[in-house]
Amino acid sequence: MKFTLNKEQEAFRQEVIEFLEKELPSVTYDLDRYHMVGGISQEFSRKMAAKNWIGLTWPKEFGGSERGYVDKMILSEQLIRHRAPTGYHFVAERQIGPAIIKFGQQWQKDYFLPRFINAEDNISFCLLFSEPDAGSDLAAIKTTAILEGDSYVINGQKVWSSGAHQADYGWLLARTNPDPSLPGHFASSEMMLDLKTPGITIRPILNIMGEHHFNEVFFDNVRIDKKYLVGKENEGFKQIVAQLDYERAGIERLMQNHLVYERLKGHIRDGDIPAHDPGLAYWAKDAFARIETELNIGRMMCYHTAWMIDNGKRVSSQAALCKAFCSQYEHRLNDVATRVLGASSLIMGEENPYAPWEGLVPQSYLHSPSYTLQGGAVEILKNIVAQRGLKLPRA
Amino acid sequence: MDFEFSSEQDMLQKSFADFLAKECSHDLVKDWHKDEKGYSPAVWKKMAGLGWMELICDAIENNEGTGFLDAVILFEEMGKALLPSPLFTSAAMSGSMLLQVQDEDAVDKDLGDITAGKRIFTAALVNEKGEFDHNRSGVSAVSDGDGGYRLNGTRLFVPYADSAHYLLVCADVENGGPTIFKIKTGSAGFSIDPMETLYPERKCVVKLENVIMDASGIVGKVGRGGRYVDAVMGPITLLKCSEMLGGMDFIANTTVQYVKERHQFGKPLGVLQAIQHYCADMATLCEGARMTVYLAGSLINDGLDAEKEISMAKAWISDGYKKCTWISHQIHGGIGYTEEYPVHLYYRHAKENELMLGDARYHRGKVIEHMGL
Ligand SMILES: Cc1cc2nc3c(=O)[nH]c(=O)nc-3n(C[C@H](O)[C@H](O)[C@H](O)COP(=O)(O)OP(=O)(O)OC[C@H]3O[C@@H](n4cnc5c(N)ncnc54)[C@H](O)[C@@H]3O)c2cc1C
Repeated sequence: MKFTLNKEQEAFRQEVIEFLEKELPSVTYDLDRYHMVGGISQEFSRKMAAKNWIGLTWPKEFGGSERGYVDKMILSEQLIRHRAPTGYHFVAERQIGPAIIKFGQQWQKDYFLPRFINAEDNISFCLLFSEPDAGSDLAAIKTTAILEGDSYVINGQKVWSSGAHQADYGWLLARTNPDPSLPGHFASSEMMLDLKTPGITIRPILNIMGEHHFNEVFFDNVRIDKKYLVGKENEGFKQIVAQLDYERAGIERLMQNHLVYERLKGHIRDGDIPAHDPGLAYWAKDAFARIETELNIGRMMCYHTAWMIDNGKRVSSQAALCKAFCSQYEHRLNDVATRVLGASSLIMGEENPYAPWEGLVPQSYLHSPSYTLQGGAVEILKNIVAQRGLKLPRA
Repeated sequence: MDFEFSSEQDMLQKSFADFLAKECSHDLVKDWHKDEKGYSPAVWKKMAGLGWMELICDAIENNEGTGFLDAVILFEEMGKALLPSPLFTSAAMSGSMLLQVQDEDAVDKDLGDITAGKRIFTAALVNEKGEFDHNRSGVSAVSDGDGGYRLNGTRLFVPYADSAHYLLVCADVENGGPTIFKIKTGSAGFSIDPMETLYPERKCVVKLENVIMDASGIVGKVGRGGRYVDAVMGPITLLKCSEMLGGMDFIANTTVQYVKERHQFGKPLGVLQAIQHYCADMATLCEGARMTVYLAGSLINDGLDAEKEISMAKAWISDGYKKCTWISHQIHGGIGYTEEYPVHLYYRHAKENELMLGDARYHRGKVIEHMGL
């Protein structure tokens, strides 16, 4: 047992830090300053590609480096700490690539994987899973994709599709067997599609901040070649469950708001707390120590999950536990920051001279309710821990 | 990184668990709590025979740079079984204090006696107000002008003082500062009264009234006592956390087992989501506890500073273990509230150890201090 990095891992960490310190200043990108992982820069992604750091864990035959998930965690942690713009390749690398490697057809591997690895043009994907009547209960999806000749014809509606308005492709879960007596678990398939295909309508949904982040996506007799099917027909649900573990195990679930943590630490260190309120000074430190403890625990949980993947262990329960813990930590962090700053923490606007930390905190606080929902709501994750991890009986 | 015990550590853990399963049932634990001595000398002898005291002292000395986790594993198993014994106070607390003193024959001999289980040492670190106070000691040592000292003061929560051969106490030497004395229990002016606390493992009030010590009773150097104790507080606290982790893990597992077996409304309790979520919460508290304990333990093994991580561990576990026992009582219903059933042993163990060696709030303060905030 050794919960600390070994020599090679430490050397890799150093290499990543040096790379970021050297390359980041020269990259120009439009940083969505409140989203820690939201910055998009193909230029930066290409620099990472040149280091072979996209697809770090992928098999060599697909251009990857066949490194472990612990190494990937080391890389991701530094990318987040340095607020590097990884948005250009993020979904393709985290989710789509591994799914193609595991389930994809040969042409899909040949076509997409090199493009992902080299951060080429047109590699952004959105996820088309949730529907109005199928959220936590994903098997209840109604969108159909029916094979007619060599094409699937897609009809239905998806919702909450993050970034669909900017993406090149959609990654779709749809019923390929419309027989309603068959549970969705055994009747759905995964496929990808070009979002410019005729019949697709993408409409914005504004989130609670009034931002256009997610969308509803409508399919009206959308016809795609059957070669876009991923994996086996009617096994899409099983495939997705396997992918979700990887989605959940990411350290971005813990550190999206790391800037808030850094600012809060600086605030406490610099004694920026009004002297006339000794109770606040004490409480702020106590609350921050809690945050620090939870951050460290969450970090070790992420590494633990990565290590389990590397060692061929089943991780669904561990990844669920980890994600539930980490997303709740982020919510608490943002809450603590508002309470330490007091009423001024409510003031919005980067330019507002009265807004501490350039208005970072109210933005983060408004983002917080989404963390404990997306990628599996906390309650669903607890069900997984109880049923798959602790082997409690299902009702 | 490696998140699993090595095969040697696995074997070690299994040997601890097997021994404790054989020697220490919950019924015996309760008997020993009421026993005159508060522990079983027969089991103690066997533990010595297995080299447990030696393992602990080696771990703390950590010369090879690998052993500390062995002691973590041992105390984790002790915490699962709740075996009452002077192991913590004698080998871990007293042993580590003595290890601070280098190259003294007397100390080497004492350590030999401790590791052989021949002599029991105990450490008296708590004052009359229940505070760990070694840096502003409530025990005074006044020079008698002949190179000797007269000690006066009262210590609370002294584990197994009535069975110990020697007591280590940090006393304030006039014009010299905090200094560790090794006092033979039963010396003139030394009195012991058993103390009843919420968790019934043996502990005593020790009164020192004009106890006469000559200079040979001083451990290490005059004025260094506070530093010696400071230096051992970290590792000792982590071993206490390991014991608490064991208790926590045991109570969580036992509770999960219980909800699979207990039926209401014609179904096992475990099908109910309210119950499932309680269980997931316990699993999360336990996983967090493991992360902090093993992280701090790994840092110590690597010879790195772990003070902040130790405090994070104690902060997390003090609250987390307690919460697990609340949940366990809630889930067990009436049966869990009986004397016969073991849940209350862990409920008590969690509360008492929450407040020992600094509670969560205290250690969060330490975390802030170690971060320089
Ligand atoms: C910011 C954001 C981005 C998203 N991006 C995407 C995306 O890109 N693509 C996509 O497909 N989806 C996306 N989603 C959707 C997300 O996956 C769903 O919101 C999530 O799965 C929950 O589904 P729901 O919203 O329908 O809520 P519901 O399923 O209706 O849940 C509501 C509440 O009921 C609880 N609940 C439901 N079932 C149970 C149960 N069995 N036991 C206990 N409690 C239960 C839930 O935990 C939750 O608290 C996104 C969501 C958000 C907030």
